[in-house]
Amino acid sequence: MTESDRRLRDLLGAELPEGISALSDADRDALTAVILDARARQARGLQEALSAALKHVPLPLRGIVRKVLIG
Amino acid sequence: MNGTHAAAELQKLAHCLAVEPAELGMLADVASGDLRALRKQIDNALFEADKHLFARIASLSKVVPVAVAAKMTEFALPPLLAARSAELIEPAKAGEMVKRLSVDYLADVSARLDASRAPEVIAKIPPETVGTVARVLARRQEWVVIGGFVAVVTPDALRASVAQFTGEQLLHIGFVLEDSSRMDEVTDLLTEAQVQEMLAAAYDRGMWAELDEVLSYLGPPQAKRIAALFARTPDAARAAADAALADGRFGAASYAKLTGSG
Repeated sequence: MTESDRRLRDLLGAELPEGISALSDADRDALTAVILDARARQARGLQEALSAALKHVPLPLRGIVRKVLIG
Repeated sequence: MNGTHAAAELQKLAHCLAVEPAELGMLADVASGDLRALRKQIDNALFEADKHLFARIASLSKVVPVAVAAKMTEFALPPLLAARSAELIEPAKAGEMVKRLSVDYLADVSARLDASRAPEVIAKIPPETVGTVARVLARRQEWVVIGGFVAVVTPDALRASVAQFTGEQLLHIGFVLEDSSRMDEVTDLLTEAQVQEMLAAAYDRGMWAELDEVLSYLGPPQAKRIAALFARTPDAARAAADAALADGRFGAASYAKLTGSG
């Protein structure tokens, strides 16, 4: 197993499908980069969404909502 | 590219990653089954990466009344957050919330929802609401999203949805249908006019790959029905099918089904 294989397998938390293991290291690394980018975009979007959500919660509920969302 | 099944899977994978299919050129020669398995793994990894945040949002529905939770959701939660959290909400409560959300917001959330992760929630949505949302999604050309929902909606909701689509829209949806085992069920629901529109979309607009994908999953009874309707199309349609077969845009097995020669 190559380092490229291991990186993608760790990212997905699963054994890679045969056709993905058969890719060249360069192609597999490119795929890993696309997935990491999607994950980063999702994380950014979620943090922005949580901040925005709190701003829009009616005042009487803001305390409890803040406690649930942020702890 | 290795066939229409793989092309359809690449579209679904691109949707899952929120990228253009062209950005996945490194997967052009991967078999459709492996692409499908990869997509499931990626979807799961993306969900697990931020599951703690989705769970917090979902838990809001336990501490505030449903009506308040619904109002807050539509007012403050972006569709992605609502979609991922919906997968963790108790289905009956989610069903109650859905009744209080606008159709446009539901369509926004549906576009970000992986239907396969929330079948119990989707089952609680009234069929007429599913149909209305399906019409909005079709207007937005969210084919992959609709194709995913077809796999999990109830038969009544499927009937309500299919009635909303034109034949051309049905070809787009059929191309990326998540559960091809329901292709016969979907086709059985089609009116004659919808089938004629599907055929016209193939020979007028060159949607042979899409028609190929749909026909490839049809069993004999539905294939015969399509062939009977194709036999009533203009000669030019037959010529167009012959040309598509000759230049490889249309598979031989599907051609045989379409022309009743198989």
